[in-house]
Amino acid sequence: MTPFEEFIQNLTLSGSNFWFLIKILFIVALSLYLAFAVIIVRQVKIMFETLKGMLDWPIKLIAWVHLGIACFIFILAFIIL
Amino acid sequence: MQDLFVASNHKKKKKERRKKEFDNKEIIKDKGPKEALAAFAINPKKVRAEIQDKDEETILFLRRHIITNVGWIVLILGLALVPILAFNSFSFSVIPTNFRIMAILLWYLLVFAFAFERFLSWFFNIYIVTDERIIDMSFVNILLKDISETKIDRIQDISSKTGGFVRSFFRFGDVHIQTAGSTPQICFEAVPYPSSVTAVLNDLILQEEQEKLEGRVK
Repeated sequence: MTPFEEFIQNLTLSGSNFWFLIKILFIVALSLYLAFAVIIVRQVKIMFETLKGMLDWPIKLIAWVHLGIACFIFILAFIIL
Repeated sequence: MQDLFVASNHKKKKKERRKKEFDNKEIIKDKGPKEALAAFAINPKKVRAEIQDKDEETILFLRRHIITNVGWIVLILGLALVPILAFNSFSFSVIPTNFRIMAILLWYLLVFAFAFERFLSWFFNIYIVTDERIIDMSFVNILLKDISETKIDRIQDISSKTGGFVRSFFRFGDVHIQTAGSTPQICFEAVPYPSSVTAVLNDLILQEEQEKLEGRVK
């Protein structure tokens, strides 16, 4: 067993709430990420209002798909963790 | 009516003169078919900044040379390989499978966010030269954008700088513009053909001075 594996096993054994704590950390990180994805969509919209005639729809689509994926992973975290 | 006719005739002449000037330069050959992704576009038809007047003609559209993106693209490729290398080197058997899956998903989300943010930073950091002013749009990061502009007749000094192997090879560099406006200096960073940009700006300054002398200033 590697030192890293030993360390994780000790943590797991020492407290039953260890993985619950990790789950909370994951959810907090993903909720921050979700906010970031929303900001990207907003910023892209504002920038295209400032600058016209650029590749509007492909970049807006990427921003929206990114937000969709972030939402999906956020929900997935609740289900599988 | 007479005055209007003179103004429109003058504008046409100005446009023809500029066209001739660009035709003499080899840079016209490098104009990409897609202006939106180009780093150097002459007289782009579609691209316009919100602050431009309706009759204001866009002469140059610039952004950082595409080669400046190589650094972060290589970094992204490296970061994308990290989970593969990590799972091949260590077993991580003590970590439950669901947590492993979530960790990988979160990692790739963060890598994608970094790549997208870098791309947007390149895409929206643009410089527009019109027949009336120069506009510098900076998308510093996802939360901070900065737009500065100055009238052509407020330009005091222009200098261009190209140094280093990569910059000389790919022919890009910085153009520093000293102004008498509220923004003392505007810098076009890593733009293609800096000396041509300087030449175009100098020509615009001369035209603006000529217009002033002839009393046709807007």
